Amino acid sequence: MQFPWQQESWNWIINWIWLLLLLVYMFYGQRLQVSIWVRQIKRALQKLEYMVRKGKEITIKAFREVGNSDTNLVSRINDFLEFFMIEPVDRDPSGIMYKLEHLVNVRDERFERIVAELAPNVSRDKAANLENVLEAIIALNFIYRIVRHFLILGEKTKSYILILQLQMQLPEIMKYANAYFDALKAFVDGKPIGDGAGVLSVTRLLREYGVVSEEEYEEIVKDTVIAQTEIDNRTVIVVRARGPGGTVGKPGEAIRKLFEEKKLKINRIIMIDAGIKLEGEKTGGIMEGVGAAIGGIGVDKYKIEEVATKYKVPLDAIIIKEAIEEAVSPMRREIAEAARKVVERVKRIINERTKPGDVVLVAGIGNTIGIGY
Amino acid sequence: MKRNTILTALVLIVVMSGVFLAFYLLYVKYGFKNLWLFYLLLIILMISFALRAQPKEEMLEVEKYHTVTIIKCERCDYREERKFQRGDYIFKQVGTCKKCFGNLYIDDIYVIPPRKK
Repeated sequence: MQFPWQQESWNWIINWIWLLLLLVYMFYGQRLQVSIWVRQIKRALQKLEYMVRKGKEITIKAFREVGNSDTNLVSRINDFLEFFMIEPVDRDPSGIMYKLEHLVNVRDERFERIVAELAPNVSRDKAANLENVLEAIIALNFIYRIVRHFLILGEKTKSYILILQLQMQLPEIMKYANAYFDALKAFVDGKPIGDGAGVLSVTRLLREYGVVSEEEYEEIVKDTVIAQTEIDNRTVIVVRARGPGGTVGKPGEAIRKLFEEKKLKINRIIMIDAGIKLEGEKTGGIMEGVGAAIGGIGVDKYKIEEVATKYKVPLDAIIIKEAIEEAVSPMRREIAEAARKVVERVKRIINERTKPGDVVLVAGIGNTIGIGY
Repeated sequence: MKRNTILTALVLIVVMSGVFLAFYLLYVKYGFKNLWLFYLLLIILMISFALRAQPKEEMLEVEKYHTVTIIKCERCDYREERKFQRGDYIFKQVGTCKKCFGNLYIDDIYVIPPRKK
């Protein structure tokens, strides 16, 4: 018995089909691959579009909930979505930090003003949270615009490299977008975020030594508070941003003021911040080193380093490890637990590296959303 | 390993086994003259690789978190865990303890990440 495909004619046809396939793959293989990548990017873009749309709805709802019934609210928020800040020229770096600080202040004022206009009757904490909501939706919208831009550009120019780069970075981009989307919801609800780990640690430290109310804190510079306590016969001054609204304060300016204007003789600075963990490391791990543990645009870091160098004060840094997406999304259990462990670490540093009678400055860096006193 | 991956692997194993069985039968019966089956195997492999390059569904899901608020008493060992409510913040005073009439405060707020399927 012989099957039809065993006949010579069948073999001939199959051979030709195979040859054709080979030729198609040879000339159009790359294009096929690109079309698969483009499809992947388009699906991710759809999700980003959904996130932006939903994010806008959440933002509008948040403003409506605090009493804004303005019919122009949607257009005002849409107009603000593409807000940007142009960084100062860096070809002449002298004095760049002060230019940067000025621009950041102007930017912050713009955010405050827009929130004051759209939500005039809210508390300072709620206004700070709404500013954070706007920042998150602007970040999310920026990611969406960038992905869309490179996708369209790649398709228009038929650039294999542009599409390839975008596709390869897609998991990372989506991780950030998811984090900002989560952050947006967290800011509306006032939930603490991973970045607040440093602030949480110093507040726990103060509470352990009897500083438990807001009245015991003094606002030394805008959105930044200090409080004082005694630990093992050392005077401990704690610096953090004011809460429970979402602010990061100006810890650099606060520390400069303590040295330069209040003329305090500080013997040691301990800084606690959330830091980026490396892949493979556990969230909530704690590491210790030296230097100014503070992120951001660099203004605060510059000021802290300046005074620490000028007055020859040692700087200790404690980092709570977390992924970048964990820093902007609601605080995870591991990070909350790490904040408790850091308290013990700070007490040990104070005990081992300072003498009785010394003045120790402990700075808890981060966003204070959802963290009271 | 995810369920979808296991399913895909199983399907691939079954298909491959079928192809190899066919090869074997052809070899035994007809002395492996029909090379087209070999081409078919290559095509299957190409299709399977193309399928593997499809976007992963989980990338398009929006993760859902469950946020909890931990309430503790300043004086006794009272501890309560409840769902986060808007307006909660860490160290907020939330009433008095039923056991010892001490102050209740929010000791922690954190999220429990969703379980990966």
